Amino acid sequence: MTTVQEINDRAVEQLVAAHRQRTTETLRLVIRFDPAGTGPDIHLLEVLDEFPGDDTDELLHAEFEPSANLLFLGRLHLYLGSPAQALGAVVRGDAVIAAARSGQVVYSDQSDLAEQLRTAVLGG
Amino acid sequence: MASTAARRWLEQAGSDLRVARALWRRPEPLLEGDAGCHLAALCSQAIEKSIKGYLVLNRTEFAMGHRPDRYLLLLCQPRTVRHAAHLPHLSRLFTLERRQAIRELLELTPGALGVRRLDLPNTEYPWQVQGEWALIPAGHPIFADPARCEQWLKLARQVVDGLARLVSLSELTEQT
Repeated sequence: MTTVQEINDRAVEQLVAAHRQRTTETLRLVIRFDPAGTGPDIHLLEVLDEFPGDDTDELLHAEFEPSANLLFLGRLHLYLGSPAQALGAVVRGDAVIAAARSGQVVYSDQSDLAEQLRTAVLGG
Repeated sequence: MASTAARRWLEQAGSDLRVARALWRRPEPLLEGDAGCHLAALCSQAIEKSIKGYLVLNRTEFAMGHRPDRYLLLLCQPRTVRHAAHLPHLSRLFTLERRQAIRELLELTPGALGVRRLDLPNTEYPWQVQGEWALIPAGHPIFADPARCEQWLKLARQVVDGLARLVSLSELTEQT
């Protein structure tokens, strides 16, 4: 029997695979994290090159329900930003960063920038 | 895809905003007083195109006039916003105060308050005082106030960036 974990893991794989195809606002880093008390919800912090907005803008948070194209249980939370916006969130100590500290990298483009971001968000 | 079409509008809005910022630095051969009215016009255009781009994304038919602010209330209502995930962002972007500021800027577009109104300050043409063509935008105090010009640039950036982020979000979610 397929578990909730398996269903949601598959959804994360599909999402990351699709986002890696982008040729503009390319994907640098994805961290999956699990804030306490949110049940089966999926939380993903995604860093994309040249994501719109000022460097000082907060990460964009959006919530989604499952759809015919992406099946999962609970809700999907995306936190999106450019590298500068992600680093800004770290410097400010935004709540999403505190929650993401216990997360795991599910994708990195293996660049120095991605490593810098990973270290900044996850620490050490 | 709707997001691709919307992206075109946001790209042009971004270009308008960059030109407005460039004018603000008053490059040669601009005289003092030249930049303000054109900056206002470009900020107005950037905001207009951003809103229209979002309306394309929202699959909302719109008139090709210069008053897209009339659609803003629709973009803060659950029943008229296609992408539910965008609602909190649209509500934060288009607060009452910001909608008012957008309206005031767009009202400076020629003809915004009626094509027969020849007596109104606007960003492009002379206007009449007591039936005579008397005043021009270039150098007029409305457009010469640096603080007001900074406010227009800030407002345009907030709207362009805010809606561009939502278009990007749509592109990401359309891919899955």
